[in-house]
Amino acid sequence: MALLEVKELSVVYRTPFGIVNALNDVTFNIDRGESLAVVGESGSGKSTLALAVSRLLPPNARYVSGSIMFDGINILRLSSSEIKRIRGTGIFMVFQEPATSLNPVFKVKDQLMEAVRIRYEKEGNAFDESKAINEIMSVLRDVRIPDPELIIERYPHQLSGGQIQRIMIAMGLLMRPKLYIADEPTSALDVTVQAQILKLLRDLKREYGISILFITHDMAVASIIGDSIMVLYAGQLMELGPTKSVIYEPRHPYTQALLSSIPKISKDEGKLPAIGGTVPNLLNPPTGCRFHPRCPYKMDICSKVIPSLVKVDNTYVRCHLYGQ
Amino acid sequence: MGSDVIIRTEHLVKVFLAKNYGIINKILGEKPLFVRAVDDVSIEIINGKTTALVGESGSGKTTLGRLLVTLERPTSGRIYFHNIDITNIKGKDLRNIRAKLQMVFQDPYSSLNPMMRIKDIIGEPLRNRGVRDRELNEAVAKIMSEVGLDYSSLATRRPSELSGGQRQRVAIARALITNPEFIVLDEPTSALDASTQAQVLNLLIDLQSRHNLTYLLITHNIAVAKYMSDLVMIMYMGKIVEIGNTSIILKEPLHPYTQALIESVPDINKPELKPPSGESVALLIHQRVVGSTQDAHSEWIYAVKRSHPL
Repeated sequence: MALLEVKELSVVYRTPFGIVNALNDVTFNIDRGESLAVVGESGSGKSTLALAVSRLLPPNARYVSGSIMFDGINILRLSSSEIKRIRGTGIFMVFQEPATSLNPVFKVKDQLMEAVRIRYEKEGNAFDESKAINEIMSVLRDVRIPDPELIIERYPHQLSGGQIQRIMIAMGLLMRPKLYIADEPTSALDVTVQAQILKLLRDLKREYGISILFITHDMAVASIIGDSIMVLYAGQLMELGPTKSVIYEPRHPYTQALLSSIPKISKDEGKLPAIGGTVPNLLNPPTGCRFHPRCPYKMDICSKVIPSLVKVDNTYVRCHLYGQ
Repeated sequence: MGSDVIIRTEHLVKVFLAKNYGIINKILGEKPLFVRAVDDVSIEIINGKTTALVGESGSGKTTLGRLLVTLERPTSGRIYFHNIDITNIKGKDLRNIRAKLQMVFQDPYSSLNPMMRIKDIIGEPLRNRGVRDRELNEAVAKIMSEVGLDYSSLATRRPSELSGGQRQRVAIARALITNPEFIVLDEPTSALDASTQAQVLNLLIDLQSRHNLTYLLITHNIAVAKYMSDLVMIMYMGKIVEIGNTSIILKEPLHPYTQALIESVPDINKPELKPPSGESVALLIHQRVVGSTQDAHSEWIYAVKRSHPL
């Protein structure tokens, strides 16, 4: 049985301007020790997906349909006190916006220490402060925090965004959750640090069998971190499959366009194939396939019927070009 | 090269105060701390070409860009534009030179005044130069159509009603309207979605050939640098560490830092990244503030060398 099973999940936001269809009929699994990279542009629903799985959606959001099974438990049925027990050592989440992730009134050391204490409790071990400190130091070195002995004595406001992000990632490493959700954790960091952290997450997955749900807008980052890749567009799951298939044999026109718009050549060799138009407004999404207004292979049916998710070889695609 | 050089700098240095230093600090006998954001940079920018300036945050690339378009004054060193010394240019001469040197900023969500209408944002640089009324409107309409913005539907809108890609087109139009020769593009697509990035890059290349523009493209995205640029400069801790033809540098980088940077860039054809094993840059900036530039620098390079033997 997979660690995380999401079935036909739909989420909407109620806003003063109307209902926003943030996620529409999303289905996927993550096995133990597997990583899934979710790729999407702004407004694709990728952050909503991360929040939905950890039950952290804002109050104006509503689960319309579907189920989320984590470790055999339907997360959507749990009370808020029951879900608290799953967060942290069951599901850990690193947010895109690092500045607000830590408690401003406690030193970094206290907050990391709490993470270790919770894990020790879960494992049934007695808490040992000196052992915990050693562990914290070694994890902080792993995430390339300079001068960790000085940093842990500081308060969050004395740190840079990049440092806080690395401390959050370190906290996740200390918790050793079953599912590690990361929402664009490296987007604000430099490429050399990003590469170090991606490598660290891969090591973590291999050593402790942790499953990873990694949200990103960057196809290249997704190909490095994900065993599988899921492509979201305007709240619809467009393509889901093993990384190699999605990268080298993209089926969905949107995935194809996204991959070909990554600059690979030099300007002397030709123009970049660009996708025309812009990402749709989800207050009033296009009918049928939400990519149809920008799609080069548009057919009559595309604007009328939402394509169903069909399996082509080992890949799931939502497109009228396939199946039937 | 000679006349092919549009901008040349000699030993350019820009030093910033790292921390506020006021009278209290003076009374307490504290020493001011300085950061050398740009540290002895001597470069030549070739006319009509795109030079990419690649580096990580805090490397001083934006500061160098701002120095070249006279938005900052250098602490020492000289800048020449067509062999005219513009380092300490003032008054009317400065205004005239600035029309020729423009900049497109990184974030179109904060670089455009939210209270102004699109046509006023784009027309403002010309207005400041005394152009009015019909002449101004015609110039705005012409430049808007060149960057792919519809004048009739967008001219009276405000930035909040536009998408990211459209906003960046507004910023480009505003930079172009004074008919510049040299434009600094500071991460022009890093705030945009992948599918709109390609549109904006294509537009920039079209405009370059149409107006014979010279670009300095500031970026941390190697793929963008590879696509856009003829020459590339790699900047690290305020210094240019490697400079040359884009195709050669990206294929066979010589400087250990360039090698580490290129190895770290995620690519769909790369199965694994090889990040440098050294300490992060943040430490070095911290150390540099307290004064041991040389030690910190060599330590990092040493660390990089160990994982990437030359």
